[in-house]
Amino acid sequence: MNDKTNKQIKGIAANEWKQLLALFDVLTQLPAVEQVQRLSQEQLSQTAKNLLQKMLASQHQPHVLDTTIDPLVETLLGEDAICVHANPANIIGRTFGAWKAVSALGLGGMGQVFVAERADGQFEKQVALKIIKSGQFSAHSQQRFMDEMRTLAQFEHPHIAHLIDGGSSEEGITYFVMELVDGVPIVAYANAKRLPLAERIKLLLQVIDAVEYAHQSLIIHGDIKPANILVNESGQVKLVDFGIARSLGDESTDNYLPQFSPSYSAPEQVQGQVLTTASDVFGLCAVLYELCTGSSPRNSESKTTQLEFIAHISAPITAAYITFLYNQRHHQLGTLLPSYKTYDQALSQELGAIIDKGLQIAVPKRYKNTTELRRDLLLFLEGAAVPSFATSWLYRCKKSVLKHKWPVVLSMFGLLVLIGVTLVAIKQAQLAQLEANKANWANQFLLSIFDHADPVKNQQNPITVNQLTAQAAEQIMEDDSELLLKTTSLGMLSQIQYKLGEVESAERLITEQINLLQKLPVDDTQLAAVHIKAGNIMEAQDKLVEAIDHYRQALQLVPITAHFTESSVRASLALANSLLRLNELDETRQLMTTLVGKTVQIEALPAADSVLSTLYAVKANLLLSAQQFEAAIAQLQEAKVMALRVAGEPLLYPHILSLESDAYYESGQLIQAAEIDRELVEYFSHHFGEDHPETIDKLGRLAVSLAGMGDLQAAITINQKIIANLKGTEIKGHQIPAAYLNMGTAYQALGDDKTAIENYTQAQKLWPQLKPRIVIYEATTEVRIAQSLLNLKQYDEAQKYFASALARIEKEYGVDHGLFARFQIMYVPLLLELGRAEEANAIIPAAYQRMVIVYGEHSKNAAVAKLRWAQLNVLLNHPEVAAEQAASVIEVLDVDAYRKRNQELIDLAQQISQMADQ
Amino acid sequence: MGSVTNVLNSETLQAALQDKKLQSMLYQELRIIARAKLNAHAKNNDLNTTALVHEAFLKLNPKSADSQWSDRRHFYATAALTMRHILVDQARRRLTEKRAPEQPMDNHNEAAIEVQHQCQELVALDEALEQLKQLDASLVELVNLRYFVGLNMTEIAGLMGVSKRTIDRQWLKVKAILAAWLK
Repeated sequence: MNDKTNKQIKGIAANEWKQLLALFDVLTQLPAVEQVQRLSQEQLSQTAKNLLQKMLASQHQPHVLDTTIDPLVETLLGEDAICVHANPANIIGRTFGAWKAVSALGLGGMGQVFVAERADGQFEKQVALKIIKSGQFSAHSQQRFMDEMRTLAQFEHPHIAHLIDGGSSEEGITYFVMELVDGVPIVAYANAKRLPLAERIKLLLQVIDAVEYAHQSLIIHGDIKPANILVNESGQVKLVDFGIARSLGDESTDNYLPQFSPSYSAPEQVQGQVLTTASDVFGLCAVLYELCTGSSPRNSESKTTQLEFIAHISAPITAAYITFLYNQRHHQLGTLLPSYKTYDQALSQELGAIIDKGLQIAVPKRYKNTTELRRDLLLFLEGAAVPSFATSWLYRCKKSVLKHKWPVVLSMFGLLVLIGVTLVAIKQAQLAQLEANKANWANQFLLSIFDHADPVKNQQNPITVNQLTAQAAEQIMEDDSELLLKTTSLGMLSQIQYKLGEVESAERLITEQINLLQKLPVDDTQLAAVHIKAGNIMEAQDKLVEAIDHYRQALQLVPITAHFTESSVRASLALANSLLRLNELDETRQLMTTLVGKTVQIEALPAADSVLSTLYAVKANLLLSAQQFEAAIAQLQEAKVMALRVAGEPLLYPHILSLESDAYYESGQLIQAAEIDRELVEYFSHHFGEDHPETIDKLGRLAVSLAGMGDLQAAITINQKIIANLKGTEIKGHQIPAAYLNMGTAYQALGDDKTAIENYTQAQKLWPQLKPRIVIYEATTEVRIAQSLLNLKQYDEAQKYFASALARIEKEYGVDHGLFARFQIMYVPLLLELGRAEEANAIIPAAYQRMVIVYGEHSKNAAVAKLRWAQLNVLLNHPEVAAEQAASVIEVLDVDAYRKRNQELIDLAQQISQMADQ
Repeated sequence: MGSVTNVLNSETLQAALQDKKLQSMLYQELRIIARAKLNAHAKNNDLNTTALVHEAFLKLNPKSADSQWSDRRHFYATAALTMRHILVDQARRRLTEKRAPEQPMDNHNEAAIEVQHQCQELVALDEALEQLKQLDASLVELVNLRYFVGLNMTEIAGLMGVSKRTIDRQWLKVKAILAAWLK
């Protein structure tokens, strides 16, 4: 303003600006009132004063500089990153050398991948074509890359994707062509297949093989990450992008390209230092970390900088690993084995140490090369697990569940502990009594067993625990050493096989054990204990007669009256339970009376809680078979309280719950039944996993209870879930047909008979595949089909199905059985509808009497029978009798537990009861 | 932060900031790092300039013997200026593209309008900073480091070799000036 040479900025001269800015500093120290006063005293142009006032006023207003630019940065740089070649549409259909891009495959760190084929069509096989973004390659690095590619192209390794071709297109786009690998990234693969730890490590060992092969040719991969490690359906690993990232990255700083993935790349790589084979070790261990823990060393969600990341990964990973184990295994381990925790921790510490060493920041502290890493991983595998065991165990366990309600739950680790402990126990307990040469035999035996389990020697054919125990058993059988030692070992192995669900093999072993024992001067208690175990094994196979025989033999050795011991009580209980299953009620009652008379003595046993709760459960079961529901429930309450105090018998409590649910269901207390079924589902899914057959069974029960309560939609949903969960699994049990049957019932209740029949038919097809076949399910399915056909007025067909169902029940249970009466009553509506009153009259009174005897006068079954009788009386023109009968039916059925589900029956009864009034 | 003699005075720094070679190297470098980051973690990794510049720092290693950087301040001042240029260039490009008639207008998209607005603000800020540079280059350097790189006041004070109190006062002042100008 004053001086023409003085440049103006915003209408204020530069020298006045100096004054203004200095003044601003002074003014901001003053209270607002004084600011105005002070400003008026200053020698400043009006423009300057105005501006200064504006500046002061702006202080308390939001300012753009107080916000973060980051969100905008992402938008703007995101656009910046998109270059012509980033748009796949610009690439597809173009040719690169002899190759033509066909479709986009994905976006990698340094470019895009396309499916390509020979442009001249001479080579049908499709390949992967990778485009390097222009500008990412200097002429020098391109030359280097081409040189290196010649080495890469010579690579022949089963775990390295073959490099086929490479070069520059006419537009100067660098590309290379490699084998198209049909696979998914290693971590995704392992998670999708739910691979156990040992399998995951074995996958990585394949990668290590590939990396080591390349290292021998002095090629460093430089970008090892899950996305570059693909696994095909047959579990074969293919490492892709070999050396490419490195040759891009190996540049002087003026054109350095950070193509690698920071989560997996070594610190020296991030800092642009020279790469060594140890850098690939870092990448391998970063992948191992993710395989084992479920997240990469650098959690992508946290916004750690590279430096923080480096600090972070140097922390021990044990905690992360334990979390992983907890997530992955806990639902199977549960609290079933007290020693699993320490075992897991030992494992985690070994593996944790390996990963920690592989992820060391300082190169000298890291594994020098892949050989060292592989050695340690193999050692870990050797000491940790019998490979491929977990899956086969699960299968066996499922198998055993189908055969038997009481599978024994053991974890992989638990089982190994068991083997170890039992064998060591054999050794230690008996060494004291045995001479030196026998001790030596025990040692040799132990060693030979673990020899079979050596995963290094058995890499191609990993051995399962089943095979291991079978081999051990064979060895014992052949050996003619010390008999006592032999028999004890046979017993142990038999128990292991039994717990694995290998009941046939367990039977063979224990039979052999009993044969040998009988030649030896052993005491009765010992032999009795073996007989009880043999009985359990027989029961598991539904060989009840054989089981009973073993229990009787046990009781002969230790009669409960003469030898009151835990063995004698257990033998009696087991015998009672088996007899009950065979419907030998009289002898069961006798046994139970004897046992109940000994309650005081039982309470003095060390395992009193377990024995007593089993006793109450058997008693309740006996009461259930006599339809004495309330008494049974009372017994079960007692049993539950005691079962909760028992440790180490994980299936005792749910067994009692199942009986309780049965009792509530059978007595029509469906709300309580459903509540208990829910508890059961929760128990099993917590301890066994959500898709374990036991859990599915309990879900099925819950669906039945819900359907009984009238919550049909919920029942259908659960059954659909069951079917969906089980399809494609190896489970070939009753669960799927049962779900179809239950779903059909629900649809039938909803009035959709066609859908109902569809579901029933599915069930009908599947039932005969069960071994042993379950007649009541087959008959029930048939009778349901008949009912739906009846609703659809297809009388002839319905008649056929009723007849077949009744014939089955008659054959299996006899005409005096309550079930036969129930099925007869279900048949009656057909007769009534067709006006076949005489036939109905021949059935109903007797069936009703049977119902009253079996289920009680006020049972739902009796009420339904009575209602049919009332209908018959209407048909026979006895409306008063009918009305009276109907009224008593209403009294039974029109209660909370039944109302919703049986609305139709209630309506019918009301109709009949009102007929007489009219 | 370093001895006083090592710290460039503002004038020398201004001269150093004219070094187009270093700037263009950084320009390329920062864009490459950004691109790699965007590609590597398209979903999870929010891009932030602080990390970009730190990574460039690690890579270009201003401390190495053959480095062309005078010191850390030189590096960060250049990187901050470069970062600003990258963003403003991109914002300008975006604004021109959106003005082009053949481009379909996506005015219906609120987010797009917001970004459009932010771009205009950014360009205006850049122009204001260019003018401010003639008054007080250190104020501009402060804005570059604070706003365009996201360093905190303590870090900036360390870099510029002054107390944090001074930086705080400068920050108040530069915000007030820009607020008055941009209104």
